[in-house]
Amino acid sequence: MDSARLLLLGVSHRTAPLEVREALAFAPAQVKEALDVARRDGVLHESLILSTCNRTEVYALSADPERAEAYVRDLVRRLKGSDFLQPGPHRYRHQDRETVAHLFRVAAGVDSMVLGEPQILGQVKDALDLGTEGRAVGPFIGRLLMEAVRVGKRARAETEIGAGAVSVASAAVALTRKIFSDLAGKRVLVVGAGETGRLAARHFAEQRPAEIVIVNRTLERAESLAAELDGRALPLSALPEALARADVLVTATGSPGPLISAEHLRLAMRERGRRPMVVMDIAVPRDVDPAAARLDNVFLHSIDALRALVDQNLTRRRHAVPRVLAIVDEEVARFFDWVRALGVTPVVRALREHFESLREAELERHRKHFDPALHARLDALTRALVNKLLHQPTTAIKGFDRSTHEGLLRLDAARELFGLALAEEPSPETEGAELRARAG
Amino acid sequence: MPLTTPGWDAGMRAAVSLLNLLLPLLYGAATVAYAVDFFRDLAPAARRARRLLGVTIALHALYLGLRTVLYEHIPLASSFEVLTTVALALAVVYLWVERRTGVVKTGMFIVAFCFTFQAVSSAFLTNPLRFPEVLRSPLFGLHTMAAVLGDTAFAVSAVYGVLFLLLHHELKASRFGIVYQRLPPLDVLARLSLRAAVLGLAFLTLTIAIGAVWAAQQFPGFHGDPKFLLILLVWLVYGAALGLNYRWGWNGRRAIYVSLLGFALMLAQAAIARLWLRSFHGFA
Repeated sequence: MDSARLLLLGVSHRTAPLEVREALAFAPAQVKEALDVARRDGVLHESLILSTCNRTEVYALSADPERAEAYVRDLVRRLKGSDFLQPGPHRYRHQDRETVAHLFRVAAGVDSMVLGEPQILGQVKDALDLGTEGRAVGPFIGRLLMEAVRVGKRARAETEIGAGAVSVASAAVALTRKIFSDLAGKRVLVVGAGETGRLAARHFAEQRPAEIVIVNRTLERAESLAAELDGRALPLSALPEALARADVLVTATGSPGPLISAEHLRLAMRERGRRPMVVMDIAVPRDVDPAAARLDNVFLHSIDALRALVDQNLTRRRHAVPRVLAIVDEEVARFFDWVRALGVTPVVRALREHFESLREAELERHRKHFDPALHARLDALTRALVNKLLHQPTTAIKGFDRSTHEGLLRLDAARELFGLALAEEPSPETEGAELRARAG
Repeated sequence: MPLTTPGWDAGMRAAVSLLNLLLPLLYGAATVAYAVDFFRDLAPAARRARRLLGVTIALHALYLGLRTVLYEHIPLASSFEVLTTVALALAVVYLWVERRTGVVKTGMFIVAFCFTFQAVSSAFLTNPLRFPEVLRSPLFGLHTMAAVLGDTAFAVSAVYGVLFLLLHHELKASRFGIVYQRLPPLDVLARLSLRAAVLGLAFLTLTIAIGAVWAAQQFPGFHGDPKFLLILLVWLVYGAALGLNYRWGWNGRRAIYVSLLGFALMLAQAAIARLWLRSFHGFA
């Protein structure tokens, strides 16, 4: 294996319709099986499958990218019954630097269907775990994935790519938490057990409130949702009493007119000692009389307000994209610094330079204590000593076989062990060649 | 017996003059750094602001230490000395709150107060030629120290109270601008404001109690002193705000309004007592 290329074949929401993505999606067990087959076949040095609802991508490290591509397509054909990764409008293919940049963009969330969504980081970690378990991922792709996770975290910490909530239900929770920092001691009342109500109730249940109560015209539907969320179901007739106990009220019924008047809420507020109440009216037409917004300590928000919040957060995320792409560029260059430093010659050179600089610094520090003749003798003596000390490590490093994963691991360990600095930044045009020469 | 030699004296005077000039600039820079963090929401900006405030606090402590040694009294003997001490206490309290609660986006508002107090103090503070003997009592030291801590707590309470009202207004109007994005949740702001008010009230009670004991020895007719009476009024307003909150469940906006009224009275009494009323507090 004198050279190796990093190859990526994939489809995503940007290139393929849902039917294709569904057909190509790999469940975790299928990922394990595919990677196991790939490892046994021995065509690829390392491989990894990242499969989410929005993308399926196969990463492969191989000496021969054309052969690797043919093999991956054949593997998919065998496992999925069709050549989904054949050249065409649905498929994309990246190599070397572009593969690294693509993965970093994916982890940073700029390639996601919902810009900046955080789930992708967990999915990248899961893909790495599956690949590592099946021993299909080696030091190269392993490092690449770990770097991708780091880049994703960095992008979210340094930019607004993950700012705010971007769905109505999560915006309702975020907005509520701007009033009550912690919902742990709060009572949530959800009126309406339709699709919208269920979704909102699930989001609020994730915050572990003290109690979650579902009220619905049809009690059975309320009971079914309450059972799922470990909550309590009440009939619609119990609404006035339930209102007085609720700290958070979510309404999502199909009622043609307001179900809860301002007077209802005024009475409820009086009964609850005017403690603050958050009201999220996500029904159309509205379930709560808008006049209730004027009541002291009642924070009433309609679906329009929540949508405005979502739009605003999406705009903030879009504005963050250029900065995220700059971070990705920076991190790609950094990754190739690591790749370049993995060669035997750079590691040996860096090791010798490191010890030589230490030797010279110490000699210089004590120069005033020795006359020139003695200093020259010390210079020769320490040089010989360093050469002798480095003879064995140098021989060992030269013996590391960079064409094997173990060799790569050992080179990386040697670099880490002696704290050797990375080599100078490579030029983009040399990176492909370096990848071939060093990772192979 | 002098604590220092003439050479040291000259050096300390030079250092005090330099720091007197430097401190408003540093507080100004820290305010700007916190403003950058507030408006741009960048973690490195917050770290820079925190470091800058830390350095400023250290230099401010050095400044007050030097003044204490140089002028042989703790710097609480005049309004402008009190102001610089309050600025330092405010900065220390803010950093503590930031570390304790993780609330980092309110620095701009509090440090702006430090900047204002220090700028006014630096502009008007003169070097005292003599220090009234009557003020050398340890009780006076305790009295003024408690007053400084109380003023600081009330200032913190007022800042968080105003931020609470701003966010409350935005939330009631379903507006999600920068105030919504950057400020901590409403209940956190209310808690910070009311807890600081409790602390302020405790120190104010201590200030009044120690002051009454000390004044009874030095100024027997102090009960009719206008500043004393105004301070009692402030105490009553804060007491009412906290009583309404804890005893009668006046939570949120209304309790904050009463608390802010207390702070406004606090500032007003300081100005009124100094400018228009004859008070035995005239030494300050």
